Amino acid sequence: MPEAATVRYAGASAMTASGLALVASNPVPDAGAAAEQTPFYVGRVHDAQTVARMLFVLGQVVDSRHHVPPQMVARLVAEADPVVTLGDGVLRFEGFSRCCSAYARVDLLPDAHLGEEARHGTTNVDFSGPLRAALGSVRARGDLGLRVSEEALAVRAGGSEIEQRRIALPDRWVRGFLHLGRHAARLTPRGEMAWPEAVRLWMQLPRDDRTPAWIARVGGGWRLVRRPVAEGIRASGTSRLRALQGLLQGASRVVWFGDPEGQTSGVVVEQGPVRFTLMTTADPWRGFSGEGDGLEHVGTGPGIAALRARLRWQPLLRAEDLGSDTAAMARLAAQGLLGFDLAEQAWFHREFPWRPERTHTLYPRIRRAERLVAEEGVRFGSDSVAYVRGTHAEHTVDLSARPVTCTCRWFAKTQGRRGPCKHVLAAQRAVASR
Amino acid sequence: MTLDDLAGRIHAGDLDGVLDQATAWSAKERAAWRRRADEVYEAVNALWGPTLGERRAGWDRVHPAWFAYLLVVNRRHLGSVWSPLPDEATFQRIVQRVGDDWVLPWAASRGIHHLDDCLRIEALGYAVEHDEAWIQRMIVAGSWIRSDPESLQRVRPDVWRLFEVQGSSEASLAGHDKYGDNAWSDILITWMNDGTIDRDRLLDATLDALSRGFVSFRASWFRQFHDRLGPTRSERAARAERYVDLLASDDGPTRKLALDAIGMLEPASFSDEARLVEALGPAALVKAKGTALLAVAQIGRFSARRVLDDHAGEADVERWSRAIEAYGVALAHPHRDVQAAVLRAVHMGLSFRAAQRPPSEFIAIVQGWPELVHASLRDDAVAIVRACAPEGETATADRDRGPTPEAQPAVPGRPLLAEEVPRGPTTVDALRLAWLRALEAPEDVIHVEATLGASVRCAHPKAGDDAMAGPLGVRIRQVLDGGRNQLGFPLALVAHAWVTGREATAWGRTSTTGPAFVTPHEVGPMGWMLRPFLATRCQAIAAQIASGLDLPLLSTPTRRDGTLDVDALLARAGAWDDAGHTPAMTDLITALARVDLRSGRPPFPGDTRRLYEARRTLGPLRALVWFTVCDLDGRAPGGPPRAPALVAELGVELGLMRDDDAADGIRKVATRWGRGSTVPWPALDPPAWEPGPVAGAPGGLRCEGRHLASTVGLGLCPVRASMQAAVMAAAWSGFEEPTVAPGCAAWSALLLPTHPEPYAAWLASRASLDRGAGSDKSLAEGYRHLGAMPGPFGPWTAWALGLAMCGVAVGTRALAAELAVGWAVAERLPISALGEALAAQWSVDGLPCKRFLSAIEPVQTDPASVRALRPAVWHALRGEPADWSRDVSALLAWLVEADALVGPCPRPVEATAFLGRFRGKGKAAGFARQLLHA
Repeated sequence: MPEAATVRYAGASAMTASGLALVASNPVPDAGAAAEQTPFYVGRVHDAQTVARMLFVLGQVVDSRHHVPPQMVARLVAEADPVVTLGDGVLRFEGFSRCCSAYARVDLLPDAHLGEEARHGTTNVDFSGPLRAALGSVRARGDLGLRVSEEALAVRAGGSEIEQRRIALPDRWVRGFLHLGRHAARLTPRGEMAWPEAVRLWMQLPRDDRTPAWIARVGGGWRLVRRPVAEGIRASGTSRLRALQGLLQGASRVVWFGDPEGQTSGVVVEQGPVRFTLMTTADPWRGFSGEGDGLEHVGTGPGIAALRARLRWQPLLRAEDLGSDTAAMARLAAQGLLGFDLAEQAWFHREFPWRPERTHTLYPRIRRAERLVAEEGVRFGSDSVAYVRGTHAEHTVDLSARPVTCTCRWFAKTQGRRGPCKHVLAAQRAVASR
Repeated sequence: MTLDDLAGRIHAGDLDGVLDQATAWSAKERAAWRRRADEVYEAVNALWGPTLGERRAGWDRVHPAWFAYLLVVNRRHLGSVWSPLPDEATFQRIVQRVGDDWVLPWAASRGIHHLDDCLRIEALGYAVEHDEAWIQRMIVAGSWIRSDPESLQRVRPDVWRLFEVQGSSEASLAGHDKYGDNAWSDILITWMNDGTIDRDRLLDATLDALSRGFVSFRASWFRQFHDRLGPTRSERAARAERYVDLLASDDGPTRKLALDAIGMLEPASFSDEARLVEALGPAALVKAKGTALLAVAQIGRFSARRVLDDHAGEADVERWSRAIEAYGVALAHPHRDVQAAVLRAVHMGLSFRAAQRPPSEFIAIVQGWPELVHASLRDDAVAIVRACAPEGETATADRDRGPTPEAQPAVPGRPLLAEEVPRGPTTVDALRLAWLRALEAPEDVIHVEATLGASVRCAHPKAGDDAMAGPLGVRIRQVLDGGRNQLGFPLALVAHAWVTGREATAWGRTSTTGPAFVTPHEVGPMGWMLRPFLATRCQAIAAQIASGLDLPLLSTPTRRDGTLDVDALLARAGAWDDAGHTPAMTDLITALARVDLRSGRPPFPGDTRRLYEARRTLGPLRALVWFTVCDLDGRAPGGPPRAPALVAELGVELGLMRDDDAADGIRKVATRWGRGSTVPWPALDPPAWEPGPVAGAPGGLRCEGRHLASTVGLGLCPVRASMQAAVMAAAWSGFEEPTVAPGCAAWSALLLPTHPEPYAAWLASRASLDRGAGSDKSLAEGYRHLGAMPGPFGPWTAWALGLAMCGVAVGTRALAAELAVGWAVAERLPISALGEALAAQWSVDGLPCKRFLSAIEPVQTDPASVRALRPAVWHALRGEPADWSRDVSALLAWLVEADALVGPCPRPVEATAFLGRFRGKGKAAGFARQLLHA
């Protein structure tokens, strides 16, 4: 059982004279060092109601649970808080649903806020019920002030009392973040709709429908259909999409994104310089944390350190900016160093409050693969074929195939769509160590 | 020690042995055992058999077993230690032996059903964390904790956190109350009633919970609790802005709660009315149609009423421009009814000079995504957008699609709707389909009229009996076989004539020749007017079609609102004259009834005597009628022509239509009118009408008791025109068949634009009858039509509304009250007549007092409304209430609470005398004293 990265909050959140002061977690919990107290952002947003509404919905997404796996430890799943990143004037709040099948992010572009003091940094903050109540009470022409430091997020949003929570950031979240960039980079725009069309579509969505469904422009309008449609976007688990309903009215545009294999879909709602991004897995019982795509890239690779040195909290970053390629960017994302902005189709830099060097230890598949290698459970028949010890039999891994294939039951079921199995990983690591 | 040893001690119930072992183990040994926790768990489980009975047999070993497992498990597995807490002595022994570092983690891991354990641990001095799990335990414990005062007091400090926690599928207030009792709401209400907790804070906490975005089911408890608290109007007013916040909720029922609350408040309750109106537009974008319609109605309530006033100021215009933006947002709703309501509201607003601003969202939707507007409303939306476009664009658009001469806007300055140009079918196939639709929906008057008009123009190419073989022929036979009591029966006669080219001389048991249709319910004072008239008219049209006379119908309306353009009528009449034929009298009467008199000017310009001289056959008659109508109304003290007069005179003609020779009747009357004589009323009075005092009124005519509203209207209206209009209204209300009544309502709605007063009477008579009129959508629709009329209105409408305000149906009561109060505030309604109506109702039965109070409930907080109503209530209280002790005291209480006594009493002498009657008579006396002091 992997250890959770326990993140403790420094003190109690409270309503102060300057606003709603929310206590955030220690950014480097294992280091145990005293965190710097200086905020890296102090400012206020221009369209308070829109931003508050988006943050409110983000809180709803984070608090929602669309699937309960049988073995899930409810307490671990229940506790998760959004991550806040500030880089070159772009303020981002992002988080996963409790089941990790939905990812939401609020982007405040430079025109959306007025920063009195803005540097860069990343932290994860407590987004509790009282904060959501305070956000819900922000009115048009109201005021919403933010002060973000590595310890706290202070929100001036009306008078409410916030209580402190002590939160443990679960491994699922970490794994979800690390996988997300790779999935997001594969998404391409599939269609754009205006807000009245979006409102109409959302009002027709079933409350909670888990059967396979696609959203596509059919018969002159956007509809939810039950069969795969060319240029359609996979939309199973409609309850995940319904969270956006309150953001659609007045949106400047709503853009859909999909990948060729229908494994991930995304939607971006733009309200001027404020954006809300929602990404969902193909089915509600699949979490981003368990997708596993790109596991073979986890860990340091050639040139990664050099690339990492060039990261300067850029809000928009493309491979050519670093003189690199997409694979290397995906490798950086798998370390939690990059996120992907769907609307801009570009990466952005962030530093999560954990050490990237230990991220590979979070994955059960990697740990088991390493154990197989350590216990000499891998043998090679030829350069391209490996035999890996399984639970009940020895599996054959064809390293020359693309993707690499295995004869295990898990691979037969997923066909590599959810990343390599532990046998493939073990074989690859054994090859690397030869 | 082996597992068997441990199991043996557990089996023996040897707690001390287990405890001894616990203290003897080193940390390393305990860690080693921890890896075997599952084995221990299995061993412990094996102590109890699979059935409950066997488990009870091993109950004495539960604590050793429980403790043994506790010794070896990891803290992460503490939650799976399911056993209840041992007694205090045993617990203390355990803690003394092994230390207390496991107690709090164990308490924190307790399930949602173990609040009692956590409370006991707290009682032992441990500080259990009161986190979300604690609140969930509180929720689940609601059922038993109510009967445990000690535990209840211990959780009371955390009670406010019940409003902060959404809960889970296993533990939520909504789920608990759904499958259990109302434990927590009962507890909270009890605490509130005994003053333990503050009611204001309770209300605020409930609204806070609703603003937290809980899922709908879990938010339902807070909605129900809010309703159960029953906030008063002042409490709602104090939280008006909170309700506006809730309009943004994703949860439809929560939005409805907010809309309901806002509906009870007056505009003065909101500090930022602009924000309210802006929030109402998005609030309409909710799946439930009723909620969406409610939001649309509220937009109008907070913006439209004032802008409709001729004295609207700049602020009102600004308010309307905000409202129209909100309407634009609401147009994105997919349901046709909601879109239709939006279009009606926008269209009405654009009729007035103060609100000519284009709604940007509205235009964006109509022009950018026309497919989002329902197909049947698209033309209307486009017409409104065109009307809102800048001047240059309007001119271009009008040249392209310019309205026909027959289809001018009914109200000057109002943009013309596309549907105002009645478009009948122009091909045989289209007409065949039109007939099929008309037979299925005879109450769709506009369509029926267009079909009738087209049938006269369009000859069937396959005339003859063979044509009856098709679907239309089959349907015609079915309708005719169904008998005369169907509204579609006379239409089927016309359709039959069009299809076969000949009249249906006989069909089944019904003879369609000879005297007009006589059925049992049509005999007598009720029901002898409209339906036979329509049947006779259809029969005449069928005869015209059969004869191959392709002259136009005089009566086909030229506007969607059912009115007829005078020029068009003159042109059609000229065609008849030129052909040397005389049109059917029924057609002429219908055409005259559709002439628009709202402009306040005589409808026919020029010298009517010239018309008389210029025409050969039809001309004299028509000229006489027109001259009479114009002249009579012109000489009447009321001033310009009034709609009730025309209706009354036509009503006389309708009465004469009972005779075979209808034309003779109208000629006689018209001749008399032309000479300036009065109508010989005694000769026309139906025998069932009896003179005499009615319902407190000084005089009148009495008919059947169930038509009390109409009768009272008769008694109080001295103008003969209004009397006859009341007769007409009573007749309309007399149709009993559900298949007929909606149709008649639609027919009568045709007359609304030109004749609002009889329409109000019809509504009032329907609303005052105990026939479940509250569910009649046509009534509500009728009131909405009536609300769109600019007025001013006479005493007769005031009477009708006063009666309806005390009616049985809740919905129409509120609608009537809204209209009456709105018009009273604007001084468009004679308030004394309203008071007379209330007095008449209260003198008959005390109950309507309560109905009146409930009807005016939404406006009670508006000082202007109260001031406007006060004279009416004073006036009404001068009567002899039948049940003063209960209902009149309620009225007096309302007067006191509403500060209605601020300012001078309208009739101090009468008021003092009146209030003197209440001295020493219970509760009412107290109020009377307050009134007298005031």
